[in-house]
Amino acid sequence: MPRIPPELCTRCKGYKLLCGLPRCPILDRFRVQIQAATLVKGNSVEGDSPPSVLVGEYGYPRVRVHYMIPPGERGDDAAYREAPGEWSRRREPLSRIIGLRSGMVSATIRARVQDPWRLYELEVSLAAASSRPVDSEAELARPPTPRLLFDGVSKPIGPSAPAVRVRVSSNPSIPRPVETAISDDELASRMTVELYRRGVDVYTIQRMLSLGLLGRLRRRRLVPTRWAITAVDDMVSRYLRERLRGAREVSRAEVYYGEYLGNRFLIVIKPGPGSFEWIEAWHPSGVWTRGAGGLIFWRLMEDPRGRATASDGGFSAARLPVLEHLASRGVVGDVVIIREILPSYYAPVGNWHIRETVRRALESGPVAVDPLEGELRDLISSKLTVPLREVESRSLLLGLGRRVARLTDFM
Amino acid sequence: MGLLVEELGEPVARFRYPDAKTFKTMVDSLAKILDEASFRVSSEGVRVVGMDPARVALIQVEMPYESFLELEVSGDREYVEAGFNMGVLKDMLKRGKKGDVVEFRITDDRVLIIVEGKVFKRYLVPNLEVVTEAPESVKLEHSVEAVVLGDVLKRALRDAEIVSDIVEFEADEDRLVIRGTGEGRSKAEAILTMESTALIDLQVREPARSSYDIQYLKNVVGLTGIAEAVEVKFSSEKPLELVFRSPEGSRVRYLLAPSS
Repeated sequence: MPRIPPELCTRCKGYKLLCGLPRCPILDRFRVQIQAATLVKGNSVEGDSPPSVLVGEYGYPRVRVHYMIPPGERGDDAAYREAPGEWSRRREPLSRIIGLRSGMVSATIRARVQDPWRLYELEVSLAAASSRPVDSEAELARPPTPRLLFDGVSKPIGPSAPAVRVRVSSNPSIPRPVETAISDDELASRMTVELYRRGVDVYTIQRMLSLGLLGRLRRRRLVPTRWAITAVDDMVSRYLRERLRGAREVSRAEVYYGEYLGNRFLIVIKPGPGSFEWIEAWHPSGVWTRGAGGLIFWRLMEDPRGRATASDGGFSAARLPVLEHLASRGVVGDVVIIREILPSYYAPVGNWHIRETVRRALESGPVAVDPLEGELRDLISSKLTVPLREVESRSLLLGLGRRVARLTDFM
Repeated sequence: MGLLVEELGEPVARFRYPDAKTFKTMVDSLAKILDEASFRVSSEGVRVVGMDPARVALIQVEMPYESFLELEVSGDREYVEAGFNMGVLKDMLKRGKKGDVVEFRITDDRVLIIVEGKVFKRYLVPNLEVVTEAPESVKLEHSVEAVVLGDVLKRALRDAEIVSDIVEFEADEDRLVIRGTGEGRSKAEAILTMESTALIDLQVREPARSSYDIQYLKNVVGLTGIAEAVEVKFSSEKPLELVFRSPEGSRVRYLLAPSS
């Protein structure tokens, strides 16, 4: 394997191909071999799709759509194969999540992004928007290739084979707001916010956007799932920021902590107008950091108007639950999120865990309120393995080493 | 004269500015820093002041009476305020061309904006009440005062940005250095001396060095479109002050807090 600087890999996550190679060598090696024989007999597969549908981006605008069916499985068991919120609540280990994903067969359909209507006619799109599993059958061109596909942002895809025919045999259960959104000739950004306000969860909205169920009717497109995920996070966050305009600032600093799948999150909410700071620290010997000599850092900031110094899907996923939390209290604040990635995060399973772990951390209440500077330092050293000085020297918003000077300090 | 004019009613203030392009450039920079802004119209001219939400930067635009073709404020008022959502205002002025005349007619609840070019374009918007946190006037003492060609400043910032998100200004008796310092000791430097035509003037009371966030500076580099030369003033670890003056006499002042 060629020697690629791990700094590049942590930014790229197999996606931007920053190394210049045609395929990501890390992801390629990661195609876990699994036993397909036990899954499918012959070339057809039948079961309830959770629903689980993924639009790839390779070859854009001619993409592959993966429609996933757990062979012979029905109801709640099937639904659990696509349940990020539940997984995180039960703290399912990485191996179990990989197991859940590899137990589904992916029937791949080739599609042109400009033509979402063909999938709509196949009923695949509606199935994707269903709130309950949908009875489905697929006839495959050949037995599925026994491997798992990973990428950095979306959930892994199980054994796959080109679909000859896909049939959705039960009626998808489509909640009212979802149904209205599908038939509305309205901008996708507006519909996304509307659905969110009516309580449709972001994962459903992601699938809808991805399958071209949102937007002006004549301009709908299939959107690769990876792009749709971050787009929905960003659109909803923009709305929440808008709602918080002019809200009062939190009165004192609060610290929250959460950990799941080898990812630790330390979140500090403190008085301020609503800037965000995101600091990632990747330990060596993780998925993307094989061969790294030491910790690899990445940092970005977003100003109170929502303009970030860089775009980052992980940050977008973490910011959403923080803004939700602030919006539910009707307050604004400056927010620092430190993410530490341990080598035990050995397989990339998608960025849903970031969203969920941060959400859970906020729900479980602060681990410290209004800490003194020393207490905050102790907290960082005790919760994280990253050396304190590394954090101090990087963070502008924490106000420990460096700080943001406000113009008002000089007037 | 058209429906919108009748709908507006009798204005309490009105001004006509000779160049839509210059006006647009100033509004663009304001829009990058402020969500909403209030234009204060008095017999002296038009003035806009605001601070960005993070309170790191302050922008102050002053268009004197002389720069207008016409400017009127209703006799019984000292001044009139017109508040706008800057994103909306920016979009309305987007297609303003050089030489087009911009007119604002202000009532207490609405503002009619007219752009006179080949086509007359009219926009009617609500006059928003905008709360400004910014102080009326800010005076800062600087140890370095320089005048630099706008284009040179713009390119130096672009160069610094290749390696860093922070730019450092440093000056001693005879030179001004604009520098970006990145991780892994990469550096990008622009050195301006009095011998070069890029540095028009340099007054150093005391050598100084100070760093600023490039993103924040990029918000106003567009103003080099209206002012050929930019005044650059700073002291060590103190705010930076940039002043842009347009040929018609408008002045934009931008203050930016230092980054550690």
